[in-house]
Amino acid sequence: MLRFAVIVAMLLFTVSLLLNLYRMVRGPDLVDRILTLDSLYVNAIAIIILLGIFLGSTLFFEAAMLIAMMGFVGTVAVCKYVLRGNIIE
Amino acid sequence: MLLALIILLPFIGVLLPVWFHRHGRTACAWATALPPALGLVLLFSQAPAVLAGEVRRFSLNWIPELGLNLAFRLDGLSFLFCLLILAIGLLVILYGRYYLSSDDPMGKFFALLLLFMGAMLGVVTANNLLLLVLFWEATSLSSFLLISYWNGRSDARRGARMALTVTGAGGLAMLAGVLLLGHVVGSFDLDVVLASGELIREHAWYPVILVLILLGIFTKSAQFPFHFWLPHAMSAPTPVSSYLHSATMVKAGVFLLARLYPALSGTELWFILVSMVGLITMTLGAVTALFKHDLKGLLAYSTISHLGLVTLLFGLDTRLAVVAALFHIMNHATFKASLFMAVGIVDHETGTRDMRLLSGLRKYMPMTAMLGLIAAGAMAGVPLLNGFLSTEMFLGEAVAQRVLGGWSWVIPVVAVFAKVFSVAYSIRFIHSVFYGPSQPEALPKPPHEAPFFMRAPILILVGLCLLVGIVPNLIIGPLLAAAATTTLASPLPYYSLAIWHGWNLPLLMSMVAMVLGTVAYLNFARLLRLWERLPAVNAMDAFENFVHDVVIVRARQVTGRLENGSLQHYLSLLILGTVVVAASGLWGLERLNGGVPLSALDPPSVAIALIMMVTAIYSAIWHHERIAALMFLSVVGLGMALIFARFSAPDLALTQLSVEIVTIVLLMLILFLLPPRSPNDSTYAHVVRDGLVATSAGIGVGVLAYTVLTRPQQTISDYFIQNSVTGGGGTNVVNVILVDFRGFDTFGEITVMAIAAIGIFGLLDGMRLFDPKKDPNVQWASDKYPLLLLILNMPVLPLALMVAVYIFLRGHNMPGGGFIAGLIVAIALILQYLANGLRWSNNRMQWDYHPLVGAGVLLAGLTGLGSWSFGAPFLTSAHDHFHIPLLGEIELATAMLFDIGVFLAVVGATLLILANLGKLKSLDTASEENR
Amino acid sequence: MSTEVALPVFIPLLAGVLSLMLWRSRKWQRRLAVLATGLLLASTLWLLRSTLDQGYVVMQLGGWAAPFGITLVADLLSAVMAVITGLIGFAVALYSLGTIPDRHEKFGYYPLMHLLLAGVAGSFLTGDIFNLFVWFEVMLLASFALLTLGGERAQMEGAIKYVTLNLFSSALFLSAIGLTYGLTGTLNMADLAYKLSQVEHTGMVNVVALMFMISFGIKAAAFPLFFWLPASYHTPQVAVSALFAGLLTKVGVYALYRLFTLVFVGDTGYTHTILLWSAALTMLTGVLGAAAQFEFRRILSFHIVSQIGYIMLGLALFTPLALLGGVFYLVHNIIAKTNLFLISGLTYRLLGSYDLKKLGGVYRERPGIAILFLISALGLAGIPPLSGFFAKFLLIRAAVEIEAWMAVVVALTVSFMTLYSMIKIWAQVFWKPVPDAVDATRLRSRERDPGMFWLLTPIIGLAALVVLFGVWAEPLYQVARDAAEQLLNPAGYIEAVLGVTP
Repeated sequence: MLRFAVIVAMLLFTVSLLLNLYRMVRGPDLVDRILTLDSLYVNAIAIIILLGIFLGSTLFFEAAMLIAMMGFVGTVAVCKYVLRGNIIE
Repeated sequence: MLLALIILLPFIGVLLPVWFHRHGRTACAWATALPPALGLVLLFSQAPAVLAGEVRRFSLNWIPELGLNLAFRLDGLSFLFCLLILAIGLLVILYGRYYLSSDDPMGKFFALLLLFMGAMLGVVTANNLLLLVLFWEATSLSSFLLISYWNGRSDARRGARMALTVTGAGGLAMLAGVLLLGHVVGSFDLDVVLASGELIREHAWYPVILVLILLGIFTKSAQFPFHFWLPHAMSAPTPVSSYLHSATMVKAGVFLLARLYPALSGTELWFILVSMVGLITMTLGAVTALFKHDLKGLLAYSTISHLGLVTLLFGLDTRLAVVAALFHIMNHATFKASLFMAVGIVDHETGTRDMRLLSGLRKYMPMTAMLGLIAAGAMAGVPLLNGFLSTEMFLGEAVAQRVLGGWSWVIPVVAVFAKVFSVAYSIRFIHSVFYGPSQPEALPKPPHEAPFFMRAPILILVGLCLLVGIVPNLIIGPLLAAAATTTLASPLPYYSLAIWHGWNLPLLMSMVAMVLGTVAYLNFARLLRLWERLPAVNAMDAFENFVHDVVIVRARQVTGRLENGSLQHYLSLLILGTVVVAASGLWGLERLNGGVPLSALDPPSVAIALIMMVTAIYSAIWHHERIAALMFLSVVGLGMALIFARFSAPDLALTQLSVEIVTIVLLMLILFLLPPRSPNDSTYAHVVRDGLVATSAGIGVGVLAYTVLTRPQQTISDYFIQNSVTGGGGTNVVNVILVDFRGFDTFGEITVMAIAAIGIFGLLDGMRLFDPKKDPNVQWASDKYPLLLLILNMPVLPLALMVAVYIFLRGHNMPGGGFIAGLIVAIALILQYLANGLRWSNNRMQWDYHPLVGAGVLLAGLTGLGSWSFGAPFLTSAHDHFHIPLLGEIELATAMLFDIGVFLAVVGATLLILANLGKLKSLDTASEENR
Repeated sequence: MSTEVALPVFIPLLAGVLSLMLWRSRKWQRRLAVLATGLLLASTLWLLRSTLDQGYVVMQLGGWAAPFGITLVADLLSAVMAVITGLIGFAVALYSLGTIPDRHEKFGYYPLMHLLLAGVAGSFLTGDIFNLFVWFEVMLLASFALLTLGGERAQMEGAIKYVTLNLFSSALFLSAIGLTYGLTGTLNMADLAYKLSQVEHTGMVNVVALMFMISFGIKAAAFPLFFWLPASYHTPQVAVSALFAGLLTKVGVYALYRLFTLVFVGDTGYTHTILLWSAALTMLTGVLGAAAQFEFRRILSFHIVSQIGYIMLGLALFTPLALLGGVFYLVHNIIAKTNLFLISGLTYRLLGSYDLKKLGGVYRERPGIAILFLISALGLAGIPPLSGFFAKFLLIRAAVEIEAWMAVVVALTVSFMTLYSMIKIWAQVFWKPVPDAVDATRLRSRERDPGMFWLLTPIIGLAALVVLFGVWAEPLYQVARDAAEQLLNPAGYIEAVLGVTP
């Protein structure tokens, strides 16, 4: 059952990845793309965790945690740039 | 040994003039004269043996495997030339002492002269062809320096360069010829080469060898069509001309003709080539000489003509011609050297060498005039002088030869023709300078007689001309015989050196030439007008234009076509070239698929691959809009991390992610400095071209990877998996590979990071950037440090540090390690900069990053070195279990220390780059705010 | 335990790192520079000694048996190259003391210099193809940093070309390594050679071989991949130029020598023919390029390219004598070329320019310097009895022996044009009177210039070697001969590294 749920969830996240791709390509704005990137990070975390559950391995959870942390920094940096045109002042 | 000493003496002696020139000019000259004088004594000590037909040899190994030995031989031929070189050298030194003015650095002059003398002696005594080539080049070079002795003068520089270019090129041709010759014979030993004439002449390479060696000879001896350098070499000081261009340097060529005569001569090709070149040169030189107004120019062309005569003689098919050639070499050396010296005196005492200005000098310098008269007589071939005897022999052989078959009569006719001019210019030389009305006011200097010691060398030489001319057998009979015996390598033909051979054809020809020559001189003005109607060619300009055309213009074209300065152009060619090369290799394969079955596809992987491909393309399309392109690139990076995760490489995924984020932040810092959009400056055609290039390269790499990966293979990775725990003390194979199996790579890579950091630091410092203009149309946020971010940021640092320690410690067994931990810490610190600004952060981290980076690499290095002290190879690790309170059982490996080094280097390098990029901008914004 | 094979890598690495730690003390960095390069030279001599005794000196790093760990291995070629690295490093370190401006020192000249030397030595001594890539990277980045140190506009322009093409080369190199690993499953060069000698040669091997060839060709500045070199080598400090001129391109050539004598020898008819044409065209285009130049260091830079052609010729002809000549040429060329660059710095110090039109009068005022130049320049042009003559001679003779006439003609022509080019410099810089507009007070000054000591010492030393390797060529000849023998007998190398007889 869990296995089935994981597979379905993965497929759904795959779909959302593709939707992200659409938004990324279409934009139309820079802000859209930044949001897309952030959303991609979230989806990536989900997929990695699901993969870990699927494979029964905890090895991937750190990767998910790091994406969470680093994605945050990346998004902050880009936002700062959009807001101020400069990131370290 | 004595033999080697003769050659060595001038080389050792080079230091004498350099040392003695501070003790006055006379002392300097005396010191310089010492080596040749000693050499002469030594030479004479060998005379009895050599003249009796013995060959003295001396040999010392240099590079025996190469066939190169310091082998010398003294036979009749070498003896003759040694004598010329040393004796005339001595006279030139004496002459030079008085010729050079006190401004001229005498030490330098004499040193070069001795150098040249040594090289020349080497050429004539070398018993190894390679050694001969070696000395040959040395004569070219030292003469180059001598000709340009007055290097302040541009004609001297140009003349010297031309001389070196021509003789140097010839020298290389000769080197090639000698190499071939050595290859054919199997040895460079002259004894062997001279004995294998038969073998050489019958070898298929013979024509090539002959032509190459003749090229060397003809360039050196100023033979047509390479004669043009010699007149321009006349910008040398006169002692140099009288030494190099009468007795020695130009004679090296004809010497070699004589030297290799047994090995190379005797074929149709030899006779035709040598005699024709000689004939043309002789005639051309004689004719041109008559019309030269410069005294040295006249002598130069006369030298060319006489060298042509000698060459012609070597090319005639009679054995006696060789004797005549050798005889004429001696005679020419004596009279031409004395003539040059006489010209030097005229030049020295009147300030000009132009025959149109000079006249009636007999009144002011009777002695020089008399000596000049005799020497010129010898040149013209007047009886009772040495020139007469050899000219007679020459004419005799010209009549006797049968080189051209039915056309052989051409040679004596042309010979007489050349002789006519030779007589005419000799008369002109004497008559226009020493006779006629004297007009001292027309001269730059009031003329007067030269000091006695300046005339003494001429006196000696002219005396020799007379003695040889009157009692030839007594003076040079044995010498000539010995030299000719060596050259012919067989018993001599019968000849007599008497003055009077009775009435015969040669004498008649001589007399005809004398008469016609006088007539020609009487009609000089008319002939000159005819001559001047010919198109004038300045050899120097022609030569330099030629060089300029061929070398510089063509060179520019060639290099210009290959690189037009455009990096894109060049890169596209390069990439295409690589693709073509790879494709051509793949073409030969029967099929690309090597047989390994492909794994099945799953939807997430396909989706991720699709996302990566699309965003990669879009990042190229959007590259003008930099920040958007960066977004696309980030997606590619994230996709890459997911792919790594999908194929069970969590370490790689972690590293990829961390690197990705650091890169984004760094790029963003740089983007701030760039204009937000880059101009669209490539044409459509370029875009298409670049697109095609990129696509083909991408497909190429893909196909290659496919081809390789579908092939079954055995790798060493199994070993790593088996040995990771037992040998490396860790269950995470990737980490053990990084810090242990291939720790050396990691060590190198952290060094790369350190270098990058230093490099960027240095690069940024020199950078003076314009103030980035913010777009005024955009409403920028006013809050520099948003509160929300500040608050959020606070817990991140301790959290990140904890994660870093965790990741680091478990690295050896589970995904993680020093590299990732370092990046995590670096990212956490970046966030501090982002949230709090540069000043705030820098105040809290006031350490030098350079030593930090250094410490990291050092620690890694020392860990590696540590094993050395235990007698194990570098980077050998040790590991054991420890019980640590609170943490429990833990396995520690020395590799962990290494990992700490990695950690430090990563943190230090990242921060070093970051702090400096930030600093650069804070400076700019500060200046902006001040305004 | 063969410590000596690792020392030439570790000494400059640690020296570089120590210099970093001494960031604030330039005085100590300078002292360390001389000390460390001196030690480097000593260690490489030790290595050469052992290599002469044992044939191969091998160290399995980390104690992991080949092919699983990384192997450091020195055969004679490696050892000779290492010695030259030490020598040039030492000479340039001395020279740097007198020439490097404070600003450059402040921004890490010395650490970078050490790390560059480490990269070079590492490349020469590693027995692992991926490790070779790592050292190439060390070298590339260090050289890039040195190239841009000072931050002048011309430097940046040259550096962009330099780094772009070299990065392309690295990318290609890395791809080739990946493919090689895919094909053979190993990275150890001896193991590679062993494995490839076992299998039939397929097209794939040739593809990989050519990828390596292109990649190293770029590094070596071979035709048609050379143009980054003359665009950049004349821009940095002269000590840096000299270091680059002597060592960097030679690492590329060395890599070609290593791979195309050890690993890719299965289809020499194909690979080495390409090398032959490339070598000939490299010689020609280099020397033609030089003819059109009137800047001291640019001329020399083009000659680097041209002489790379000679060295490649030795590999391309692939006979014992040719390889011998190639090795001899490598040694000779590194010494002579470095020295010429150093001398260009000397005249720059005296007259303040590298432009031939703005130089002159050195022969008259400073004949000693003129002689030093003449020795190196004529050595480079292959005039006997200087070292270059034997180098050139060996190669030409090798070409004659296998009747490669094209190579003979090209080599001779190029050697002649090299001479012409050297004479051009000589005439312009040394003979010609000082041009009117040029300030020659420094040239004419009779005052002692204490900094000159640091410039002259290495120049005199290297010039002495140019003479020595000519007049007393026998020892170098023998070493080169033995090195060539080893190169033609890869089995020895494989056995030394893997411990098995192939």
